[in-house]
Amino acid sequence: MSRDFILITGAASGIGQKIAVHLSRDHRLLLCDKNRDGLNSTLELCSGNAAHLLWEFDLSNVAEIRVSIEKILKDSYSHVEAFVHSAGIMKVMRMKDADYQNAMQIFNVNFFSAAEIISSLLKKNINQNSLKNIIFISAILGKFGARGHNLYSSTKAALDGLMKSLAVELAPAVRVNSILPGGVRTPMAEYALTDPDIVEKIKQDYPLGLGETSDIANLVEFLLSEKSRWITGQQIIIDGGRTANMSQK
Amino acid sequence: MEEFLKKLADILEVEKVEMNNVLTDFDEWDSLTSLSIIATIDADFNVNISAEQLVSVSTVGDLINLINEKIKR
Repeated sequence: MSRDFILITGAASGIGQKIAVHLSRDHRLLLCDKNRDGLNSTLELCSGNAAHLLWEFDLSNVAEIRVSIEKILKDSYSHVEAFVHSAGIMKVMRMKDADYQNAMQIFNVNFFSAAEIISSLLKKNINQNSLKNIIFISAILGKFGARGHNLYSSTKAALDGLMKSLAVELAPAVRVNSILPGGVRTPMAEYALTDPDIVEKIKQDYPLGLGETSDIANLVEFLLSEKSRWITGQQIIIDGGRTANMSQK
Repeated sequence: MEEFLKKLADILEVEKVEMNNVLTDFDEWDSLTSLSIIATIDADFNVNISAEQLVSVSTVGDLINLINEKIKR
């Protein structure tokens, strides 16, 4: 008997981990990350952890994704009914340092891995037409600019472009949406929050303050549910009012 | 480390960097340049250095020492 799973990439920490914990209450999860210790920590935090699967894999190895995902699904007699792409790396640098090597590193993890996973999951011999829902964790920087975020912003804009085309190409069988978070409290962000200048700037920029990872997980839960059955092809901003704020600084 | 020093010189747009060069003395040095250096260190050594830590080092030699300390941990 086959079993349906929700695949979450970047599940070892931050937003991906919180999404996993939320969804574990009602779903079987296939948790993907290159960090084995982090994956095990996430599994311990999840409900019903015996039902979940771990896929320890470095998504920068895009060429090996198809074989790897096919193997794990066949070996476990499983299918993926929903895919949440939360894996991502950030590189902040001047454009003149953003060479092809840097571009490929960040695009492989943030964009090409998601495209390759979806391409694989749409193959009948791999996933039996089970895929019904795709959610990309994009970023407000995919829609707006910031100094040094040239490559990172581009990867998120690429994800959102893919999302819109897939929403049309795969309808009505599959719904596809992007979530565009603003600043969220993650272990990485907490480090920056020790700087009083950054704390003051956040107070000015974010009318509702910084977000929590659970804010993003709640939206993922909604987009996976029947309550959002008529929503597809959308970039959904969740940023505590950051992008609405035109106040003079 | 030789390769990294070449990359550092490339980022700072000079022919060569010396261990006693003060980072803030380079014409190209600014906050965004420092982020490029942090990204390069992360890519080359898989070592995370914060902007705050980078500001606390003075010379190229200090930066190399910081990277070596982080690698050892």
